Amino acid sequence: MSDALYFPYVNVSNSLGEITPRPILPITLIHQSQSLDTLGLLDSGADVNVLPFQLGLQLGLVWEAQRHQFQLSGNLANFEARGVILSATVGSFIPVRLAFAWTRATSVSPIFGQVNFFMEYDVCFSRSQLKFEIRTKS
Amino acid sequence: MSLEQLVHELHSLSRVDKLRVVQLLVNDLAADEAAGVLTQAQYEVWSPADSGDAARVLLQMLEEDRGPRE
Repeated sequence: MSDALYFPYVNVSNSLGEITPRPILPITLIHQSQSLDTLGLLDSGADVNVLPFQLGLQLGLVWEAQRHQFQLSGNLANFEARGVILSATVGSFIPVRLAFAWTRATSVSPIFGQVNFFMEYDVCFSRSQLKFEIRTKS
Repeated sequence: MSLEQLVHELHSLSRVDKLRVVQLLVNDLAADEAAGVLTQAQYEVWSPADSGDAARVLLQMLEEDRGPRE
């Protein structure tokens, strides 16, 4: 079993202004020669990873060049989405390939969901202690 | 003591003491976070909780993209 990395929960605010702790993960996303340090929500209820439109542009992605299109659910259903694959690094772990739904939405933060963040990493949430731990898959 | 010296000292600790140090630091970070020290940033949560079709497309893309990247 790999060593674990530990992260604290971070206070976030919803649209009503309510503050709650959430598992927000710092991560480095890489596309060709571009890399970007960002934060994203670990969302075990999300079917897919989500990449906000502006972050994709900052990584040098070209919207028109992405040929895989699909529909997302919830609030994101109102925006076009296209599939992209990036390299991603969490802490000292080796880079992995993560597939993202690149959405035209700009007011969303990155989301890490079942496909395929939770297929690459094992995550243990300790909400009562306001921390979570991540390991690479066994 | 410099950070370099501290790290050197930490490496010499027993496994039990290393775990204690890790726990102590995690608790400190959690306490800082609870106090709102780490960030005041706001995030909206837009979970794609029912996006099975999108998940299938991404899995197919990963299958087609097997091999080293970047």
